[in-house]
Amino acid sequence: MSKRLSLFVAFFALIFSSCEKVVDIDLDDADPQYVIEAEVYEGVDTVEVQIFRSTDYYGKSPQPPIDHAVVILSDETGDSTQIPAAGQGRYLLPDFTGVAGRRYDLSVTVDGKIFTARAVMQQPIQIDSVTAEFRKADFRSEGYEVAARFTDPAGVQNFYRVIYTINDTLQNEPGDLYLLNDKFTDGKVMKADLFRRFLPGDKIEFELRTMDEKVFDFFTTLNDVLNNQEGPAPSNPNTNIQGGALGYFGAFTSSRKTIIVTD
Amino acid sequence: MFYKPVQYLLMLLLMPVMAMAQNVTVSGTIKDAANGEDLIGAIVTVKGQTTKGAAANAYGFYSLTLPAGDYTLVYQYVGYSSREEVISLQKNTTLNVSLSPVSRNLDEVVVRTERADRNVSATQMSVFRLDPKQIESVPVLFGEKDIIKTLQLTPGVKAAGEGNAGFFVRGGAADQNLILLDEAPVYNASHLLGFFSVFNSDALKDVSLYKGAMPAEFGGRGSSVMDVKMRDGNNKEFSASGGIGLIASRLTVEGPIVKDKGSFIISGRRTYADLFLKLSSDERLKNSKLYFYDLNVKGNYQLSAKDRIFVSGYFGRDVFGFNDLVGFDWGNATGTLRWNHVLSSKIFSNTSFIFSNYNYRVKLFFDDEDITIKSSIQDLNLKQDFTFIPNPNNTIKFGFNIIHHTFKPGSFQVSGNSSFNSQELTGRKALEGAVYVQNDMQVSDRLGLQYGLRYSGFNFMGDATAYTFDAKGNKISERKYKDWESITYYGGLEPRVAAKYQLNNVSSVKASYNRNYQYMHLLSNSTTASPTDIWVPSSNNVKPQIVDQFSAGYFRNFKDNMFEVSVEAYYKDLKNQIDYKNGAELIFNELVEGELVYGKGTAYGVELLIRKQTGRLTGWLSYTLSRSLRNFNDINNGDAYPARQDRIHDIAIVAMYDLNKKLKLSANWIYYTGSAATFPSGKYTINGMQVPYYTERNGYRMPNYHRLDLGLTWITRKTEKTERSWNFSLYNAYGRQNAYTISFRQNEDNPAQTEAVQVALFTWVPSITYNFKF
Repeated sequence: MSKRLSLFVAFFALIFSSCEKVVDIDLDDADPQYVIEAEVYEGVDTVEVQIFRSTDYYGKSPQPPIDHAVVILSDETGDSTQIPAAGQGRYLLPDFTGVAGRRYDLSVTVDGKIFTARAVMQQPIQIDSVTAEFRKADFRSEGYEVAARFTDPAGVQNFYRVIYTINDTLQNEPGDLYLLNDKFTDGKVMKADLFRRFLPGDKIEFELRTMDEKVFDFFTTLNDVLNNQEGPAPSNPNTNIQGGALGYFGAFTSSRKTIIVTD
Repeated sequence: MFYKPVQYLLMLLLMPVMAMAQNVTVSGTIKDAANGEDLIGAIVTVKGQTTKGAAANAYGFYSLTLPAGDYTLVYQYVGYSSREEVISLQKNTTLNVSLSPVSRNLDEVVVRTERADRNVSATQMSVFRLDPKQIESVPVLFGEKDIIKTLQLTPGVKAAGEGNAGFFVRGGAADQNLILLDEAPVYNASHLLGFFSVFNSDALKDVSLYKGAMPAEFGGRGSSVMDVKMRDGNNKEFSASGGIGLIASRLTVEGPIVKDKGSFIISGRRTYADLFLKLSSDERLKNSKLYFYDLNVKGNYQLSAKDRIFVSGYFGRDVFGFNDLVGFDWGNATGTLRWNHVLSSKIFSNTSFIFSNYNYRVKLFFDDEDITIKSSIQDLNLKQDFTFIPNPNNTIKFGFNIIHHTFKPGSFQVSGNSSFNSQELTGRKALEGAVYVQNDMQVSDRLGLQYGLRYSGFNFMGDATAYTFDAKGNKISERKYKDWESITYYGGLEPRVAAKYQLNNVSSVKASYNRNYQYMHLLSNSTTASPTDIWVPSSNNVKPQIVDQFSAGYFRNFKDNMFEVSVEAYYKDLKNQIDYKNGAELIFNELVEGELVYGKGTAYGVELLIRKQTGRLTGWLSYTLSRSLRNFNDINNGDAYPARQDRIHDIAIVAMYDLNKKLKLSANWIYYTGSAATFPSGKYTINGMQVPYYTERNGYRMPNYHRLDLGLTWITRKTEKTERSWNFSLYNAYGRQNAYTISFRQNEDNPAQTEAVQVALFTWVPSITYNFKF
């Protein structure tokens, strides 16, 4: 829903002639920070952790990877595994079974620093259906509106992210960040629809992920930094990692469904 | 042993009232002879004894107490012919006087004010008075003359953003300005997201912005009072005036209800950007709406020699709609009923009943959903003010004010079979009250004192649900309160003191101190004013803001009051300031109080104003050097940081030049160094996206801002009763792309590259308005 509201504000801004251009702003170079992206999924899947250092803002080289960290994943039952380095800043543990409802802890030790994080894996939510319906022009041009539907469990707070791939290309621009919660839709059939219209032959894959509130907070504040810098003061996303690193540790469930639009 | 100090204290308090034998009072009203409007601040003095005088109050009432005898009284108001009245004053007498405006001579463009030397002689400092007629030719965005935009060109006042009607006064926040229209508070003073203010200057008589040294009769906001008075309407004959412009048109109709006894004025304004949308071939645009309107109505009637009643109302609304899918409207409605009563020749009373409502509504229709979101704040206010003038050296004001606030922060209603749930946030109620007393005292020829005390209180009450939170903002408990049951009470004393010492006829020094409590706070998620900003009351979680301000200045007039110069320095201490946790959810959040963090601030600066009030060239030059800093434990690691509105240098030059009887040129030039801003000092990748990395808050500056506006008024026809003119204006005449926002993002074509992108809102914006009066 927030996408619609932001669109009419955009339409509004369009009426007033405005100019956008790239400018040269002098920026300081802060000390490089540790950046950790860690994800564990429900079911049998690979646990993936990425560790890098931040760079100065205008730098063109990719961020330097950290390959010498000790990464340990444990859970509330006491099980604990080290995740081995796979090079280029990645740490992979294949064939790991993630259990819904379980609490996971991550610890990363590098250069004398220890970073820890905790995430709770939620119950999996399946996409019930993906539909394509023809629509006349309204906000968008005429075409097929493609939406995924899923049922939100009543009585519990749920947090979702929708990731979509169009014609085999992962939509990964900052503007594609799609986050939902059930604040107004508890217990209802929720709909994730894409803010564009499609043509027959387009292939769209939806992935619905669930996460806990802290990880959701990270992604919504990340969204503010990427897409809403007009707020009073942008600030680093609220990380669930303790110790001073940037990034997040998320325990997700994932459900996918694909549709090919037909006439 | 403490007898003596008590005795002195009593004498000091009662000194103004100690009657002198055989004194008699002459009182009455001073009005404009052409249309019957009250002349606020007009003065009456005894010929030959200019130190003995009185000034007309906000309703044109004056009272002058003298020993019995024969006098020649001189009535004066700058811009009007002065008038002498010879009287033999033996008993209390009523003498109503009308002054005629001077016929305008090219070399004598005068701004209507009370005393020509008021810059130097008035004890009141830190105030900027604006005559709405004077600003007719100040060029503003879209050609719509706008008092708020014009006030943003004066020292100590900064615009909240390009084209934004929000403003900051002396480093204070945008919600610290009390905006009053005929005594009714206006909660959202801007249209169209801030590009226009709600004030149609055709309907206005007087605008005073108090930046400090606020008289004790005002309270409730920390940084300023913008006191806007509407005209009463011509009580001698009918008249209409208005203008047709590119974006909006306006019409004002006024006239007598009963000649010389009562009058009315109705003033309306509407934009019609959406009429152009109807010409579009696109169905979606055809069904869209985009307009705002303002309607000011006022009537007044003299019931008897001692009684006068006023009824005034303001209704304004912004309407935005897109193709029947989205509708968004918001606006203020205010109503005031006032009763002036002359209790005696020395005591004047005003009783006001005020109603104010601000609400917004969003309607969404899509995919068979029918959703309405509403929010409102409503005030009912009873205000009683007395003015007691025992002798020419003292004017005592006292009174009280009670406001009942009702907040409905949000309701979300769906109809039919919806995939959304209806919700309603708990309402809030409060009772805000104050009593005050103040004396404006002329101690000697040189020394003037204005001293007063205001006590204000705020009772946050039910029926409502109140929450408590831990240090992290998580809810600990909740409790339901019954209607009128007190949840929290706050109160405090607000001393208001000012002094003026006149060095000689043309210069004086002044100093003041005042304290202001603010019990209502505006939570805003963006730097630009948004209609969805929410007003919240002080509560068991939110303490009232307390602002202490010291100011001192040197005031000098040159060339027989042609030039007014003032240099003022101020220092402000702000307590209990509010900010938000990172990622705070302000919209539709029942537990919004858990998202707030608290801290303090300081603001200080020096303001220079050079104002030319008479002659073919009029206008002013304003320069402000200032800082505004904040300090919160939860922000910036507890280190002090510049507030968003911290702009160190701020210059404005406003000039209006009468080329000849038919042409008037005007120009503004504004320059200010950039506001404090938060920019990244690094970057990193998350999920393949480049993310800016921030270190300290507001550690950078936006680029410097400057622009030139030009205006031309061409009077095609002017007689005593009618006038026709064309106004051409060009906003941002040299088309500089001033940064409105600077954002940091990855390059569209090459995601590995990141860049800074500037959005500039307006380059050249020309505007034409046709004005008429008959």
